Amino acid sequence: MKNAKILVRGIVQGVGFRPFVYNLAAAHSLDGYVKNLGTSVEIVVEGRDGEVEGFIEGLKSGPKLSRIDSIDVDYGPYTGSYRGFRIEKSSVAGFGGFIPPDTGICNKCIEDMEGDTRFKDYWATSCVDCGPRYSIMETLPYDRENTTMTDFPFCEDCRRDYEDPKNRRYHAQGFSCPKCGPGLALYDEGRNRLDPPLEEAIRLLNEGRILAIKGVGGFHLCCRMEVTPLLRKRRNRPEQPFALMAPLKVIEKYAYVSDGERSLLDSMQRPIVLLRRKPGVPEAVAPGLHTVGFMTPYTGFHHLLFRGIDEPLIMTSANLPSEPMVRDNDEAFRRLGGIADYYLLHNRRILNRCDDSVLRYNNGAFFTRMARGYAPAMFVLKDRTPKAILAMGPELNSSISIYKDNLCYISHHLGHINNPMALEFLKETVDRLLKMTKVRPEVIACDMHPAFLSSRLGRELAQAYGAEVVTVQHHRAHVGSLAVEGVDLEDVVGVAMDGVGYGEDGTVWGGEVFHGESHPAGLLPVPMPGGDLATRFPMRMVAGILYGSIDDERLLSIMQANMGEVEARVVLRQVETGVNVAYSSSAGRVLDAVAALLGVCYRRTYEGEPAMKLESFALKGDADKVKLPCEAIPISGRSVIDSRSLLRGVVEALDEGKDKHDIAASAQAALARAFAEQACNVARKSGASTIGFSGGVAVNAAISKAIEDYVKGEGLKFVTNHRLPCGDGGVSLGQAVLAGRMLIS
Amino acid sequence: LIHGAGGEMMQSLISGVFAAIRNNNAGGIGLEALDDGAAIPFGDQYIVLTTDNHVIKPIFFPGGDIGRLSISGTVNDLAMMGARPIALTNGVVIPEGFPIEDLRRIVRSVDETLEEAGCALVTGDTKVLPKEALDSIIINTAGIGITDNPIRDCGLKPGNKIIVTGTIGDHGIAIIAHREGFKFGSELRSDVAPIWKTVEAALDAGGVTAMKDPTRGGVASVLNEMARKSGVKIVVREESLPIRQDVRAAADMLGIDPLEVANEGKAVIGVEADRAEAVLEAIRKTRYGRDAVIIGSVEEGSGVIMKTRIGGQRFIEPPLGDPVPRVC
Ligand SMILES: [Fe+3]
Ligand SMILES: [Mg+2]
Ligand SMILES: [Zn+2]
Ligand SMILES: [Zn+2]
Repeated sequence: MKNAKILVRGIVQGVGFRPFVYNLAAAHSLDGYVKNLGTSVEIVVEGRDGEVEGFIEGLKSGPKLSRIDSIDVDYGPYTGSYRGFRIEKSSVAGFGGFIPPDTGICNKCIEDMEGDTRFKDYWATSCVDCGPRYSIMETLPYDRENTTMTDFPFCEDCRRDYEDPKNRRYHAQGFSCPKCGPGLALYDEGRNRLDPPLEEAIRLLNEGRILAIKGVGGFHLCCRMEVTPLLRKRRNRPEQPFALMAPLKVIEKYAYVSDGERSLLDSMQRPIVLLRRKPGVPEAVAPGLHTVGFMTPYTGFHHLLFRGIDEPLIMTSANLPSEPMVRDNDEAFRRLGGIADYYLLHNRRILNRCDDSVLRYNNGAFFTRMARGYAPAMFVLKDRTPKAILAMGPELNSSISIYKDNLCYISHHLGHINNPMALEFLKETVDRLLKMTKVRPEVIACDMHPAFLSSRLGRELAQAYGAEVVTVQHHRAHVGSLAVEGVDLEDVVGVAMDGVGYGEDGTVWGGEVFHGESHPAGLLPVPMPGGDLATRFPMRMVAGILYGSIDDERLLSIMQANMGEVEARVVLRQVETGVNVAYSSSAGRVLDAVAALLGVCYRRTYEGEPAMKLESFALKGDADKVKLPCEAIPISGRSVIDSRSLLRGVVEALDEGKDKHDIAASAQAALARAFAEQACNVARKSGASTIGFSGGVAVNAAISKAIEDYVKGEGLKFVTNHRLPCGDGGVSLGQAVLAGRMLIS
Repeated sequence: LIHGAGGEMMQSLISGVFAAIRNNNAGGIGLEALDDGAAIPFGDQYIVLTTDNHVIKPIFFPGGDIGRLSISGTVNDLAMMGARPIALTNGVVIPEGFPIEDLRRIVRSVDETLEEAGCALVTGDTKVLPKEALDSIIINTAGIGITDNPIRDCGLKPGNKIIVTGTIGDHGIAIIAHREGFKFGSELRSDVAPIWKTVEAALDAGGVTAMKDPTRGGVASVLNEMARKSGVKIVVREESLPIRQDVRAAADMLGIDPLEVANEGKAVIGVEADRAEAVLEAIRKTRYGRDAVIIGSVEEGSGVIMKTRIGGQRFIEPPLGDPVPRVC
């Protein structure tokens, strides 16, 4: 007989860990208790030696949603003081507590829906392994009384399951049944009910109607693929790709699915995965892109829906452009009027808006958006921050982070913080996460941009909390986000290829190479005639980069592929006079310019559009068939990558009649190579072992691969973002990390 | 110098340096208010006093010149305090060798503008500086006016309506086009004009709570200043903003927001809701008020919000000066 005191670290809260431990202890006839300590669980077991060992062995597998980082065991003498095994009430609220993300429905629950059980056909079925979590949580710990499920008191049957240690729903906080749980209702625009809701919804979808469907963390707009043009018109989204949902078997008819991609589609998180499309997907779903986003049904409701529909459905977040997703039922009627024909609602309140996550799989998972299923997330960092830090994120595709001791929480994707409603959403999220983690910020980290709303709110919060404001440069924050990939920030040369971010010198950065504090290389700053207008109309970047570098008349004729002569002359005059011209070293803008030069994209209607379309376009080309220069020149002690030489090369290749797909591929490769060369030079000089690659451009598989190959060829280590978005979604964590380092030094 | 110079940078210069003057009030409204002018009690009325330095490149431009600008600017500042302009002064500084013909032209223009505004230039001063010290003419104009009831820029109340007296951005865009040699296809003209008569009509109609002329920093800057000083929120409807087609087209090509550039013949006026239509009608009957519209209203809160055409909302912020791209 012996006693073992066990400490399990990892994701062990809100994932059904304690019931798992209870059952395991029961199976081994052990006495003792299990207690949550936040990022760890404390277990004491007593009993026969072999059973204790068997128990410890069994712990290693953990329940489905858990992640076990370590198991420490302390043996002691048998005391006999425990009567049976008990679960101690959640003790960890607040800091250190794990905020459980929402999770897709599990297979056992799907079986329950299909079999002859009391959950048969119940759209909101869930258990200890699955179902909504964060989206319905008021605060930590994740107990039913802290969720909106308090609106649905257990019926007798559910109460029994909840209290029965043998049941899968033992201590499951969010479940319910058709008798006691939330229900569905379908309405038309005039708020008249249609019954039965599910059957009617299927009929309407099949008829080609657009439905607003309330889901886990918000609303979707849903329709058949052939209705895409109408949906685009009503939503005023001419080009932005829409996500699709279908069961895996159906997806495979419409897209190529690799093993890596299948494992993502099939995971409990059920994200949107960007897949290579097959011809069956209408062009209009994702115009000009080789990929299309697919997810599998992730709620009971979705499963019911696909019983009556045999093709993929458009499932796109319901919101107006750049506004947060619709959350409440009344809000749906108000904000989606004129877009949706019908509204399929349920009465489980959503507290925290949470979009679908979007990932790409190329040699590992890449986030383009981290939200449902993955966030809020918590990371253990190497550095311990002396003061609690709240990081406000940038402005677009934002998130926030909270860093205290050596733990850093990062929120889900909050979208674009550039309008009053989004600012309100940001404020709510800050309040919610500070409340959940019980952190009082002493330092608030903001982007350097003077006009970002997130920074403005940061300053207001700093006043309210008596906290100090620190600003962190946008691209340094991108590199800082690599801290969670195991990078030692002292030993890395950071490459940020990105859209734009306010630089330390008041110009706009976006293609930078850093080492420690230094900034030894980067792209040449070029004029952006019209400021942000040059982001919307990439031909303006062509003018900005090439003006003075090629013949004016030649440039004018290139520009007229996409604008009238009057405007083309105005833009050139603008570059010449400097009226309303910003200077930027953004790599994204260079790719945009290449996209415009090749006629791939003249107008950006969503974030990253020209560069994304360029990547798709380049896929059909061969980089080796065209040689393009991308020289580096020394300017005041810095090695500067000259985008003019690259663009001139593109023009010459066009003049020579080279294939545009080949030119596109070669331009990407040349830019990637230029950055890789610079980074490796810096590493060689400084002795750094690793090249870290981040920023929005890192999501481009061709560029990322080219840099990786070059870096590895030089015998250096290559690291990029896998656990966080490489785009602006990861910036808040980088801000927190760098603010922490400033405090330490 | 484009939309900037008058935005946040200028504000911080004023609040950081000139706010240090302690002898800033002669009774009534003084320097501390940073309003369009000062109002000094005199009997049961107020004398309103204001001054402005005028430099502009080029000095002659479509729609006006520095002479017309200097008189209009001062008349309008007096008008924005609700004061009838009475008498103005001119202090002229010119570089050596400045063409006498140009000076004559400017003086003619000054007189025509005085005529229009119904006031007089009663004293002046002229200095000549060496060429190296000055590259173009500077005109300082001061003016006094009289009012029973000064109108502040901080008088907005929730419920008020916001009127602009005409199209937005004409002056700023015209000056940029002309100075920098942009050819937009049609010639843009400055709106520079003395608008006392328009303002007088509004005041006579009753219910005016606040006024400001959207010169440097444009309507965006003025709305923010009025909202901040009044402790209210202003909500503007995008589709109601009066912007000329040609100004819009030119601004779109340059990536400049017409809300952020200077106007020299316009006023932003806050009015009690039940008087709004009457005031609007009165303004529209005047020469420089024909295109007046109600652009929005005042609510409790803070900041300036625009309801966009497509049903969204965005903040209208005080212009920063130079463009600072923010789209990633
Ligand atoms: Fe970025
Ligand atoms: Mg006034
Ligand atoms: Zn389940
Ligand atoms: Zn029940």
